Amino acid sequence: MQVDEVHFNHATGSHTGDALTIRKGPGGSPVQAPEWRRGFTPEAAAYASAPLGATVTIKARFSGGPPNATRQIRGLDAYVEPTDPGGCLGWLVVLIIKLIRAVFGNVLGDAGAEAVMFDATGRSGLVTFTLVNHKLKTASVGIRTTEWKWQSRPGLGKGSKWTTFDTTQHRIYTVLDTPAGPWTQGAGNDTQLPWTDALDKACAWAAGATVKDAAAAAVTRAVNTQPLQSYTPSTLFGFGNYHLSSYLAALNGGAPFQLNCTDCADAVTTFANLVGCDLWEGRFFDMETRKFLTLNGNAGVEANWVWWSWGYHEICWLGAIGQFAQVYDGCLQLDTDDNYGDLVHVAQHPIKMTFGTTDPAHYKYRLIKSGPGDLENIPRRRVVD
Amino acid sequence: MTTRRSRRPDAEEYLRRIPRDGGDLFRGASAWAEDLPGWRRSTREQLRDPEGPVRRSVWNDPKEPDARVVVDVVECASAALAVAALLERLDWNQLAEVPAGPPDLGLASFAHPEGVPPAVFFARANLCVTVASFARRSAAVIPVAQAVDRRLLREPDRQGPGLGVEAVRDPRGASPPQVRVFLRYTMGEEGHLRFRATGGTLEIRNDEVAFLRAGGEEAAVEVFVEEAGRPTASGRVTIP
Repeated sequence: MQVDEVHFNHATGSHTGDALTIRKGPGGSPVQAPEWRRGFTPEAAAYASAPLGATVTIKARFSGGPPNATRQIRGLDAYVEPTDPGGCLGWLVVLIIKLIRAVFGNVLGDAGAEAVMFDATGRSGLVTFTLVNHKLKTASVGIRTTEWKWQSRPGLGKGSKWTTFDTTQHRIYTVLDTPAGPWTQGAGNDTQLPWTDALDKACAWAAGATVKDAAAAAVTRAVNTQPLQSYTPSTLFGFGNYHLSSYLAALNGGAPFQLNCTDCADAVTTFANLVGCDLWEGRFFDMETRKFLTLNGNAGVEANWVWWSWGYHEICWLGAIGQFAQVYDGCLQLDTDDNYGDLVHVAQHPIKMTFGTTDPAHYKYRLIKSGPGDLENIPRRRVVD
Repeated sequence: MTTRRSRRPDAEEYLRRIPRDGGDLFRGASAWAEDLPGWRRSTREQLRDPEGPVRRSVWNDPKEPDARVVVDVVECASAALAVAALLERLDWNQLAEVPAGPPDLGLASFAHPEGVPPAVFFARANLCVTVASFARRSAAVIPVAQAVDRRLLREPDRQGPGLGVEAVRDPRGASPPQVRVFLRYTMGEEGHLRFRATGGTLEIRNDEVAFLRAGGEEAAVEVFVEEAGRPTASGRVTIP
């Protein structure tokens, strides 16, 4: 007997009891169930915690079963707990392994036992399994691997023993909520379905976040501190559409690249919203800034503390754009040292700060030395290409 | 609340420079290796802007790993829309003011000032071109932009093989005639079509090249298939 198919996104119209609808990237195609199919490279699946209901199901198909007979089948977590070697070191090793498992290990739990009927050729239909002991409702953002050992037994009686007949391995993205714009859960070949290329980055950057604020903060820090990037005033990754594929290629290319505030705001909004946050982008105009720590700057190097005369600056907004709204800025780190005349600087990522007024706790006071900094009330979430 | 930044260039001044009775329109144009002698292309991407397709190429200086140049060529539907795309790029440049670029570059051009990571922007025909330094070490971008522009201005070769070109009229007369090209081969990465109008202008409408008559008697379109390392094929059609 063998597993032929495992379906995670088996109800493409919803994701309250199954996986999200995702795609590989702009040039690829939507990931179609079965995500796992014997003889083919497995595809990943993604789950959004918040909208999941009480019951989460998968579907699977089998072959090589007993002709015209029924078997009980289940899928169990194949992970075997390591035996404690004893002593302080042993305890520490076990603890570390448990921590790693919590972040990267099985989140799907087990596929609960179901009766599976086989036809005269030993093939089954598509059978629905309910996930038991899963952690999808409480999981942090991450990329995890589940390995199931599939077991069968002839009947329900006590004497009927489970026998392992196959194993399957699955790559699972977990995000906090349904991805917000520009991402959609549309039908057909929709290029705004969450991309696995982008989920790889977003879930790595926000790994471990259990609430949206933490996820947005982690993504903001990650965008700001990518090692190969530096600042230019020109928007290079799109102001009409967001050229996410180009940004991903730059990130993964291993060569230096440049970007500006709009590119950073695009990245923070697009990646944070992919893991379930709810950010928008918006501009404000005409300012001379105080010194701030430039993109990917080293706070200990005075030359990295710069000021600019800007016609505009674009940042991320939590909800509506407004003077007292909260903002995230992945393009710079503010100097929160009160003396702007000396060479002492205290770098702070602008994370969920009030845009504000002349209050030193506010973003606007810390960024703008002079100029109006008038808000443009056009919230944006750029279409990705 | 406000809706726009305070300093913007005057679009009308640049739109007046567009010829009304002739001109070129490009399809598939991108940076060529000859525009950046000695540099190596590391990336080639086709992106999408609201103004049209963007052909992006990133070039590395083999002698200096921290020197890179990105060239974006936006294919707009018309010369006027290329000027609009150019000004839109300035609107999305954080500098309070982007000074004018070299006077002979494009129909209009702008360039970052000294002390800022170099970038230059220009419009030529229906193309809006950005050449920007793409790494921490500043790369000279104006010579690259001038090389791209010189190539776009270069008089095409008419000695090569022939090319099938036809003008298709709308039987209802509701829309302008379309110019269609019959290519016998697939162009390579560094290949584009150059349409040259006499007695009118050209626009891309519904992914077809449309001829808009200026009012004179003589109306014709020449088409050139230009590609590095291949003889230029050309053909001509008189617009009825």
